[in-house]
Amino acid sequence: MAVLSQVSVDVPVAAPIDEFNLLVKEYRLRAFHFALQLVGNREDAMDLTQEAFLKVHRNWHRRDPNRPFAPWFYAILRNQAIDLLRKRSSRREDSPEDLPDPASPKPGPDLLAEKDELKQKVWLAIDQLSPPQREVVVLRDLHGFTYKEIAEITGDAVSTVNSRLHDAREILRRKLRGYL
Amino acid sequence: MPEDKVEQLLSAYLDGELTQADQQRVRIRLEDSDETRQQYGELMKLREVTESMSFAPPPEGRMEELEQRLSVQTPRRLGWVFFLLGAIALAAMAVITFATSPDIPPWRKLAISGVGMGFALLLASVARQRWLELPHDRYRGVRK
Repeated sequence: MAVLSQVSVDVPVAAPIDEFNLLVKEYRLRAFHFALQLVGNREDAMDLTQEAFLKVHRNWHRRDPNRPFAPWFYAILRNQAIDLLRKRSSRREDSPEDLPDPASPKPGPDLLAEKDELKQKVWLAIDQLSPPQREVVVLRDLHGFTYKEIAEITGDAVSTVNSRLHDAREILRRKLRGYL
Repeated sequence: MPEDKVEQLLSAYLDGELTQADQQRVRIRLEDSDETRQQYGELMKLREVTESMSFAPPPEGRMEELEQRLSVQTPRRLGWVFFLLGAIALAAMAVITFATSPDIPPWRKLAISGVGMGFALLLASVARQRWLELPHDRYRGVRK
């Protein structure tokens, strides 16, 4: 059996069922909302959430157990959302301008669960930021990540996150000055 | 530090992300400047509103569907891992038994090995082609 002992196979280790199920329960709603805030469509957000969890499951063996789960998971979800947004952009380029793309409704204040006028105005202003700026505002103010964690999720330097968040908030502050 | 630089620190000050020295600079500016105090107040209000937002729930029944699908995937994946490990062990045992068996004449071993090797090479070549045709997956190797 000397030959067998030399056989080394890199078999991916699946996520332990209990741990994985707990993570799904803990993160599913947050994940859905993050996806929704990025892509602006409940059906797409749900699909992205599902795909992100499946990807986590498939890539479980790549996860560093010494690092927190949330930034790793959000990075996966974010990348999927960017892919979807990119596909939408190319679909829009391919289709005639006068035909609306039913798969990409404009994200708007109707994504909010409440009808508070100020909140709707603020969300609309956030939605009009550039995608990288919107992303840092969402990750910081809606999901409570630190700058370091945001940098880990987006793959940027902490200083970039800092200045991007500053710029985004300044745009929002100026736009919403009359309401704050 | 120029005046506008301190203003640029307000956002990070609000989030508690500054060094002690920078915090002190901002505090001094806030004490001295009405304009900076107003700017800071607006930023605080803005963050307060943003943090208190709540968003639309997922489509009806989709969370349950998600859990159901994931709960099916988990044992399935484990099943594949065990199946693969078992198959590799069995194949290795068969090869060793075949190679060390004194009952099989060498010419037959050679012929069967040739067929086996050819089959394995063909399989590897097809697998490689399929692999190259797969769309590039940017998440492979995600380590964040």
